[in-house]
Amino acid sequence: MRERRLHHAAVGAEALSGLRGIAIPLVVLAVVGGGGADRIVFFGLLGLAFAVVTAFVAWQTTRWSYGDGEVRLRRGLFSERITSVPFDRVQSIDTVRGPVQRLFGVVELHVQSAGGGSGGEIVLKAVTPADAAELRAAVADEADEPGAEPAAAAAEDPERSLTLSTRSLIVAALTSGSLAVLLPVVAGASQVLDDVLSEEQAEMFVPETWTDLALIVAAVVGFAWLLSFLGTIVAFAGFRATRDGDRIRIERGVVERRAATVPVARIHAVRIVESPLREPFGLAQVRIESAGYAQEPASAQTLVPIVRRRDAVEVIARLLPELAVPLDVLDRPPPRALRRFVLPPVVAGVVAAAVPVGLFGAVALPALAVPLAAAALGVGRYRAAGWRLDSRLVLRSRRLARTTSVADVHRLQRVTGAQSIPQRRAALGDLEVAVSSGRRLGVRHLERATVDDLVGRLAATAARPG
Amino acid sequence: VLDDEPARGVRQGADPAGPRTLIPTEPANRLPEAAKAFWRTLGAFAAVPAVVAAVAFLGTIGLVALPVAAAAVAIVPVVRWRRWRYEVREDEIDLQHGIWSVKRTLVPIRRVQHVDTSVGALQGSFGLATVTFHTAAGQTEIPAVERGEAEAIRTRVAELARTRDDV
Repeated sequence: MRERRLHHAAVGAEALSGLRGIAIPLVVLAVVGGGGADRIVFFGLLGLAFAVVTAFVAWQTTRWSYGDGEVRLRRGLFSERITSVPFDRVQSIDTVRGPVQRLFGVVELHVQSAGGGSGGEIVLKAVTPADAAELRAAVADEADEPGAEPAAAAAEDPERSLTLSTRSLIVAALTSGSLAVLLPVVAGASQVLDDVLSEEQAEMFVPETWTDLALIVAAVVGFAWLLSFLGTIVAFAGFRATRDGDRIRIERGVVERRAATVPVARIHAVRIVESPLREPFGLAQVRIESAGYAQEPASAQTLVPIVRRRDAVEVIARLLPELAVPLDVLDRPPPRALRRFVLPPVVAGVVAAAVPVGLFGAVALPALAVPLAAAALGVGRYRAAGWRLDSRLVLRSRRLARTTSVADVHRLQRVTGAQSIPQRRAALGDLEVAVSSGRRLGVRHLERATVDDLVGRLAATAARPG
Repeated sequence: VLDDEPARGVRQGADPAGPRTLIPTEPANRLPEAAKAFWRTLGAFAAVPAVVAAVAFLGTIGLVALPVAAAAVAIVPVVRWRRWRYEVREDEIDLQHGIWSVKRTLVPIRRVQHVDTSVGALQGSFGLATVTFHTAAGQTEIPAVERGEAEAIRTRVAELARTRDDV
C-alpha cells in the first residue's frame, strides 16, 4: 500500500476554497475598520497569506493510499486522522474539476461511501488522471465495478439521457429564488448596516412610508434573486444526466465541473417539487432521495433541474423507469379535512398580524393580509394533499412548494400513522413514511380508516424483500 | 376519476378480507409499571425548580405554575404509560405512543442497522433501560423497559436483522 501525496495543485485548490470561506468576514472587517483602499488591500493580503499557508500545511500533512481492500486518507498536523473506506462500501467515485484543477490538468475525487453521511467519505483535492484511473480500476476490480466510468454509448443515447438547453437553464435560474436564499441576505445586510453605519446614517434606512418599505423589500428580494439566479447557472450549466445500466451519472456545473454516479439501487424515492415561483408556470424540479447522499446539498440531489410538470413522469421514465408512475390520479382527504388544513395557519397569521396592529394601530392594517394569505395557503395545502398506493407509493403535499413524492414501498425505513386529539373527534389521521435518505414524506388529515389501512399495507410490504 | 366510487373503494381497502388484518389493532406489550415512577421522578426534577423559580420571580402569581407542575408529575406519566405499547415481531418493530397525538410506528426489521441499549443514571435506579433502533433514516426508541427485557429485545432484533440484511 504505497502512500501518495496529493498533486501540488491541491495547495491552490485548498487555498481558493479557504479564501472563499473567509472572504465575507474579511470584507466586513476591512469595511468596518474604515481607512480606505490600503487597509482593504492589507486585509486582503493577510487573508491570502493565511489561506495559502493553511493550504500548504494541509497538503504537506496529507497522504492517501489504497490497497488491502480499502481507500485510506491520513492527515493532520498535530493529531493524525485516518479515514478508510473499504472498497465494497464505495458507492461511487465522483469528480469535481474546479478552476485550479483544470489549470493543472488534475481532478478532485470524492469517494462516496455507502454508509451515508458526509463523515464517511474521502475527498482528494487534486489527483492526476493516471492516479484516478488506477484507483477506479482497483476499486472496480474488487467491488461490483462502481468505480468504472460509464460507457460513452449511453451518453449519446437520447432515450436514456437528459440535457438542459440554454433556454431551460435560464428559466430554471429565473425561477430558482427561494426563502432559503433570501434569509441569509437579509441577515447579512442588516448585520453590515449595523456594523458599518452610524446611528444617524442607519436612521435613513428606516422606512417612513409604505412606499419606502416596499422599495427596501424590493431591493433585498432583487438582490437575493440575483444571487440565486447566478448560483443556479453556476450549479447547473452543462447539465447532463445519463442512465447507464444500474447507475445514473450526473454531470453539471460551469466554474466547478462535477460528475457524480448514483447507483439506482440506492435511489428509494423521487420528489417532484413545484416551488412557488415555478408552480404558476407549470414548472417543477425533480430530486432524488438516495441513501448516502442525505448530507449533500440540494443541487447534488437534483435529477432534473427544470421540467414542465406534465412532462415530469416521461422524463423520470427515461432516467429512472423504476419510479415512473402516473401522478395525477390521486385519492384525496375528505372535505371535512379542509378546516383542519386552514385553521392552524390562519390562527398563526392572526397572531402575527395582531402584534403590529396592536403596536402601531391603523397604519399597520395592511398586516391583515397575512391571515388572508395564510387561509389561501391552508386551502392550497388541502387541495395539494393526495395519495395513491399500487406498485409505488405516491404522496402529494404542500408546505409552500407543492411536492409529489414517489417512493419504493419495499425500501421504506419507517411507517407512521398519527392521530391528534382533534383529529380523533373528526376520525382523521396523518400518514408519514421515512426513506433511507432520512427524508420524511407524509400526507395529513386523511380518513382514519385509510391511514390504518395504509400503515398496515405499507409496513407489510416494506418488511418483505422486493 | 376521483369520484369513481368503485375505484376509490378498492384503493381505500374496502376489501374486508384483505389489508386490515395485516397488523394487529395495537402492539401487544405495555411498558413496566416502574416507568410511571421513573417519569414521575423525572417530572418532579423539572417541576420543583420551575415552581420555585416562578414564585421567586412573579410572587404569588407564580403559584399558577403549581397545577401545571402537579399535572406534569401526577397525570402526564400515567397517560404516557397508558398510551405506550410495543411489540417486536418477526418482520417488524411495532410502537404506539403519544399524549396529544397518538402515533403508531412500524419499523421493518430488515431496515434496522443496529440496536443499542442504554441506562441513564436515574433510569438505572428504577431497573429500567432504553432500547434504540438505528436505521438509515434515523433512530426510534422504546424509552423505558426492564433491563432484562431490553437485553432480550436487543439480542432478538440483532439476530432477526442479521438474517435479513439490506438497506
